[in-house]
Amino acid sequence: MAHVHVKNLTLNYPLYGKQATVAVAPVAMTNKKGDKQSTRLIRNARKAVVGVQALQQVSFNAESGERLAIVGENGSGKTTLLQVLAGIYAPDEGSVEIEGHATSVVNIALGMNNEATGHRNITLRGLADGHTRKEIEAKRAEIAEFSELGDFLNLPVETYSSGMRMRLNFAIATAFEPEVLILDEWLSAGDKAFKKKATGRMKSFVGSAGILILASHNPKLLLDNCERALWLDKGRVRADGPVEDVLEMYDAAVDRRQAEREKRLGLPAPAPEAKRATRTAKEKQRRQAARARKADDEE
Amino acid sequence: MGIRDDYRLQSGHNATAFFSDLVAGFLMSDLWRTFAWDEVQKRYRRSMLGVVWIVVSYAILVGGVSIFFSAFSSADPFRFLTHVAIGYAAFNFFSSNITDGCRVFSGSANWIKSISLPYSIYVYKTMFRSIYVFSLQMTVALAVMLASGWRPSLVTLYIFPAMALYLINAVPIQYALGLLSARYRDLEHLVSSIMRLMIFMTPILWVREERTGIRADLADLNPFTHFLEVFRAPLMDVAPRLISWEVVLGVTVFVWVAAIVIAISIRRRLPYWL
Repeated sequence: MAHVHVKNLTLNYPLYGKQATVAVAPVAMTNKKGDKQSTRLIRNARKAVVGVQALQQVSFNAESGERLAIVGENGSGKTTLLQVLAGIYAPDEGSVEIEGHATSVVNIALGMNNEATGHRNITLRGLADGHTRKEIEAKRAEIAEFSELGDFLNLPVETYSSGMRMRLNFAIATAFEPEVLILDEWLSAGDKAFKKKATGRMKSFVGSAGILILASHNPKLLLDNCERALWLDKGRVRADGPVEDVLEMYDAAVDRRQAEREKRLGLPAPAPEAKRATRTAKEKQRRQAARARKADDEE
Repeated sequence: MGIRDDYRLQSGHNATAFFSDLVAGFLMSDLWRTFAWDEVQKRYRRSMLGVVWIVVSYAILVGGVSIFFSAFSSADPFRFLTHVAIGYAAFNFFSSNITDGCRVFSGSANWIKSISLPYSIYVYKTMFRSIYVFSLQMTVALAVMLASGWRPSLVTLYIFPAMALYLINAVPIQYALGLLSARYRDLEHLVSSIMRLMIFMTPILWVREERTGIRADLADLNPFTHFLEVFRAPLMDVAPRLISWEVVLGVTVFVWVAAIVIAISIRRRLPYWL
């Protein structure tokens, strides 16, 4: 049985000469406020920024058949977490244990040879995933059909639009039926028809006892595909539970933070009742929709 | 569980992790051969002759150089042509392993940052590409040799240990240089400047045996002289000197130890530098 066990995962992202390109201004602002606790930048003895605390003490387990959403603001560590799960970065502390064949698509801009054709990239990715040429050929027609790229597969990938790249990536990643599938935000770039198709495929895949880990900012995508969510806040796990509840908490926190920011900047805050009313209405709608979908699935 | 699953779990900080990276990568030979082939194709994409250019351009170079430089050597022109044709190909193999070695990881950042594969895959890929170029260039050398009346003899057998040592050295050299120059980007420029100088310092366009005094001593201090000699001399019906084997073996031990030390200390950090 597949499982993903993450225990006390801590990862500091070193910068190595990238300091100049890293946003330094917001740090100065944080320091001026005197709120040094919130900064995740690691400094050396000379106060120069040498790294970022990307993940701190992250722990969670995912078992066979679970569909886990990862939510959090930009820079909360979602992508870094997925990259650690994908085996790209090694944890500084803690452990990551993955049982079962895992496939991850963390960045669609990467992991393809741009000058090579779509077909050639199917071969490369299949081989990189540890499959034999025979297995790849057996799946080629299915990948072509699912990606709907047709004759475009004979063209170099550099001629593709980002949507086409995404289709190909998703089709390859899911074709070999991995036991653990790790996907980042990019999936929400697809058009409506493809998203529906992708959702269908992810459902059937998890139905066959796989594990899906999906990071996204798109609540609908997460509600459609996941039943559990992990909320990452500044590199720490803030909440872990049913996707509807976690999303609700997350939304509330984001709104609160936004209001504080506006207050700090001296903007007139919207009347709290009005705001809460809209949010509750939104939530209600969403939960109803989720319930309706669940009912659909159970039918 | 496939190779990749086993691999993922052992990205540790020790020599075992380094060696299992080398083994796991080697086993995925289908992948690195495909990568290498794509890279060769890419370089000659949309040219009419395609990879035949490797042969043509080498023939032009060797031909031109031999006509011009044979006047500086007392050797028989055909023998000098052979000397250049083999020497240059062997030197190219080494210098491309060294200069491309500096880019072996930074050039594959696209894959390293998206899929967890043994890093050695990129080393084997680059190595395979240089073997491919080397073989094509050696066909030019072989044509010259056959035209000048060369026939294989027992001495020729020395090229097998020589070739084996070439490959055994290429792996740690690329791995170590790839890691170091991903971290210190100046290294690549330093290395390519040195390699440009080495073309002249190494007996390729001149014959070591014809030189005396300081030039002969300098040639003997240059490890490339010995790497070239163990491969070129047998093909010119001369057994390589013992000192050449000693130097080559010494360098082999040194680069392996260096690569192991470098890999243990910084390999784990590689993706952050790309």
